[in-house]
Amino acid sequence: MSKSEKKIVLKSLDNEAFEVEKAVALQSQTIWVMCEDKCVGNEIPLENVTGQILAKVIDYCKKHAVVDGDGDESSEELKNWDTEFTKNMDQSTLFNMILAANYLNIKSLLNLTCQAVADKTKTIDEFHTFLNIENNFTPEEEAQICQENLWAFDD
Amino acid sequence: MSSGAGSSDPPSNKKEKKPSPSPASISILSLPHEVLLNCLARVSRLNYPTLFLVSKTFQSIISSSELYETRIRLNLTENGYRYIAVRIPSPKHMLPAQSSTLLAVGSNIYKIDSSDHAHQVKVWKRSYSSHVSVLDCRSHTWHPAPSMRMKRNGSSTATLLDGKMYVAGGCDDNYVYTSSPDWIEAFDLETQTWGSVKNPRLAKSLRLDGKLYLFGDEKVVYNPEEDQWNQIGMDHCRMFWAVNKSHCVIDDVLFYWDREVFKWYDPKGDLWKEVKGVEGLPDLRDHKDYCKMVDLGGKMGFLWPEYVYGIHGDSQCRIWCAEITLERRDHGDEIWGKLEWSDFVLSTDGSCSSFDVVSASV
Repeated sequence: MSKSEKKIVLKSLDNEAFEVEKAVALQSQTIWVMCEDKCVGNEIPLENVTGQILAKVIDYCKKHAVVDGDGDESSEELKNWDTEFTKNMDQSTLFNMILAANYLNIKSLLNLTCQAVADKTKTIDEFHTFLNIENNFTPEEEAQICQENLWAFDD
Repeated sequence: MSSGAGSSDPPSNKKEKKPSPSPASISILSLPHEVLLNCLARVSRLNYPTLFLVSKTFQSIISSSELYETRIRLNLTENGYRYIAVRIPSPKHMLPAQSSTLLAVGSNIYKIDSSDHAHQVKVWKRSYSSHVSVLDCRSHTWHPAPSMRMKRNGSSTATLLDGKMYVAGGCDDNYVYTSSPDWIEAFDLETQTWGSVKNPRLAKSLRLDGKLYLFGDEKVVYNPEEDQWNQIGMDHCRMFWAVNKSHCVIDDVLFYWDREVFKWYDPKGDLWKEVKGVEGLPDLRDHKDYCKMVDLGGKMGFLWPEYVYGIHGDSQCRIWCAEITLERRDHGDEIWGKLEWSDFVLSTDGSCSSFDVVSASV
């Protein structure tokens, strides 16, 4: 990573432009590859991310960027920040964050957001509503599974 | 928090499909498959039974080894992560918890005398069976295993020794004599076949120090190398007493729960010693017969029931689990225990009077 103060501009799907330091943006493998390829100028269009989500992604990257001088947060602090970061995200924001992290290839953010999904779903109702999945079992099939796993259910 | 937070954006990738709690809600199934696996791999294994019921797609994902591989790839399999299966009586069918014998082998749990359709068969009819099934704890799925030669009920006993699972007893005494050659049989886990073993009579079994101890009419110890049964001396009578109580073997040491304390057997000097330093467990004197112990990969798992009574006369049984780390001190002459955590892990109907527990590594 170069130490130059160069900044780059990230442009969202809905044409919102964000000027960020290179060190912040390069946490995204996707952006890193784009910069390496030199096939883009100073402005990088991100076709799959909305401005609202990109702003949050940049927040995360700024916090996690290792920049000379101000990147030495303790890991404990960073962890707490991460927890707060995802704590109050609604379902669609969280899922869009996952999609963005996946597209931008930011492993730590992807893992953080996937973990948040796992943490927010405990009961069967939460699985259905939060993950937005239809229960496509017939009542007979459901009874069959319950019976096969009888010992494992605690209702 | 962010510059774009206030904008009322109508992003094109959010579809308004059907009315649901949040209108722009995305289904997890629309995420790329590897991302979906990443999410599910992080869901606690305790929630797998619930995941199973979510949808057919989830069911097939959880049954596949893909999820397990993802967990390994993401390094989410911390050492010592254990799968604890607690079996409770079903309130609907009133089957006793001890209607079959369970044995953990690696990441599998063998269920001996298992009737697949328990609810369809009357309790008295299903009490003897030669069926064996295996629960793969990694994928949380049951598979059939080769049947035993003998039909048994839940009073049979099973112990793992030297790559073989020894199953004995639990036969119908009216028809099967304890002298029957298959009264005790051994399942070779590698070849997946049943074979016979020379036959003592017994009620409880235990593996310790590379030998199989059997307690019943006779108290004998089996040495697989010599293929021979020997009488246990009178000294080991307390061992017999211990195996009739809540007990477990951890790292070749026999522990049991004696009212308010854990005791362990020190073969050096043939002594029962108290596990020191265990603090933080509730008063369990009234439940002493219902507590269960299990080896959690070198740590001790201790489970007990708590009965909670509602104002309308309804009652609930909560099964608590504590994890206790064990440490040898004083050149191995003392064992100290430390309560790491305790929490209730399962709640069931208040009529639950006994439960069973096994733990497999995953």
